[in-house]
Amino acid sequence: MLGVPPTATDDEVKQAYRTLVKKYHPDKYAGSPLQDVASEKMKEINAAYDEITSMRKNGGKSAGASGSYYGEYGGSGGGYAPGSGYASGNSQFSDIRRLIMQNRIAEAEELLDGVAAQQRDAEWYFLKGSVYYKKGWLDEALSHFAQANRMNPNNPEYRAAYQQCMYSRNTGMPFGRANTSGTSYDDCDCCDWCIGMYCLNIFCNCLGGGC
Amino acid sequence: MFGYLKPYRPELKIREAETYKAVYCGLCHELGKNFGPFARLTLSYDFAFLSLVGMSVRQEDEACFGKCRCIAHPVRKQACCLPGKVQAFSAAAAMVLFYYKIRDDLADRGFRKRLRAFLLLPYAKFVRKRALAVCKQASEVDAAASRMTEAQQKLETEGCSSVDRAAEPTAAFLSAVLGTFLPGDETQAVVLRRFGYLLGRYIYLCDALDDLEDDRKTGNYNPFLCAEDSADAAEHAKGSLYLTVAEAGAAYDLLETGQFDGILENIVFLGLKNEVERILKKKGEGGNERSL
Repeated sequence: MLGVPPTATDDEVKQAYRTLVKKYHPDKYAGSPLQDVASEKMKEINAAYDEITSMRKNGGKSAGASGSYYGEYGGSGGGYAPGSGYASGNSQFSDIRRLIMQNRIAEAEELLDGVAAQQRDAEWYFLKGSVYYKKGWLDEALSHFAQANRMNPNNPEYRAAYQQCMYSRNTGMPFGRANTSGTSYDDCDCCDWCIGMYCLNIFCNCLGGGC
Repeated sequence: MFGYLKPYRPELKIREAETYKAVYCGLCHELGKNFGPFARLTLSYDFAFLSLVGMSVRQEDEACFGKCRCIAHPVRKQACCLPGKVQAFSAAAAMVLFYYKIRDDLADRGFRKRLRAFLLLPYAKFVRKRALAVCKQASEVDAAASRMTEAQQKLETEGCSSVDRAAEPTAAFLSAVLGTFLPGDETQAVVLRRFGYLLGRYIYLCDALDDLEDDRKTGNYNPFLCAEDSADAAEHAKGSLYLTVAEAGAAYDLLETGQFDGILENIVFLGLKNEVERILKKKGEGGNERSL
């Protein structure tokens, strides 16, 4: 599961485990239709890592229970997924959130479209963005997340969704994944610099909005 | 499809480059064998990619390599991926798509394109029929391609201004095609469908970005020109494409790949992005020459 030979040292095992945690990190798949697949993978990796570490600790006798290093990632995942930790109990859209969680996108969209224009608050935009994101309509998703974030800049859920999309849009890389190659593209440095400034600008804007 | 799904050569290992070439050659042979020498001219990187993904996720169809002769290299025998189920499927998919492309060109405004399409139509009809006879799954590709063409024509006549909606038919098509690879494994099929959706979206948007200047001149439909603020259409396109590339990468990470994973990783995490940069750079230089 971890892709290491039985002869691997403890450090090598740990290294392999960390790489995989990064790959399947729940934050990367928050709100994605593949969230369940990713968290299933994460569980398998945690189990495999636990088994190896406890086996090595007990000199290969038997596998006891021990917490994995990144144990906290094993569960349903944090991040901004609709219905996860941040969801407020008094949400007027809790039914819709549940539908989105279950990947019942068409029904959720129908209910959202039925909401009268004057009742469309930040949460409505966030949920509509989530529906678009799951459908793969990424441009609409980003503009809805941006609108939710503008209407309620203090909400960590909306901000996380917006920042994650902006990160992808600027870098072309999945959130939390480092560039696989060590060398840079044959691209002019000033462009990189521009992008850097752009990111900084967004970052500052968010901070400004948050305070 | 249009040949946007290709590896970023400088980062490809030599053995990976050779394997890639062998798969490409194998596909070319398959096209020639089943559909005649003309079919070889329709070969593109996209179908080589389709073969790579198919062989990588369907781990029971291990690819075999051998040597074969090729018209393009008459003296030395070339390394070549020997025919298999996936290669046959890719070749059949290429032919089905060729037919729909010709049908689409018939409705085009330009006279020369229409004439060319008219002359090629009997051949396209023949190869499509053969593809459906040779490969069982080609009928699924055919149904998806037919849905795609219909939806695309409707969008274009409407002058759809939403980039997402405009990319939907191509995205749905590739989603359906990749979805056929693993009929038994629903979890992985979900990942493949999402991956295919995003790649289809990528191909469509790349093509739209590539044709931006031409469409501006001729007034042909282009989703980026229909958007409200068409002045920085290229910038808009770059953002949409990067977002798509990043999402495709996240989907790829969940795919259980076997052989060729190094090449696929190169294509998904470097090749896709590099291709966007190449198109933008070409525009920046103002010329139409293609970079090597």
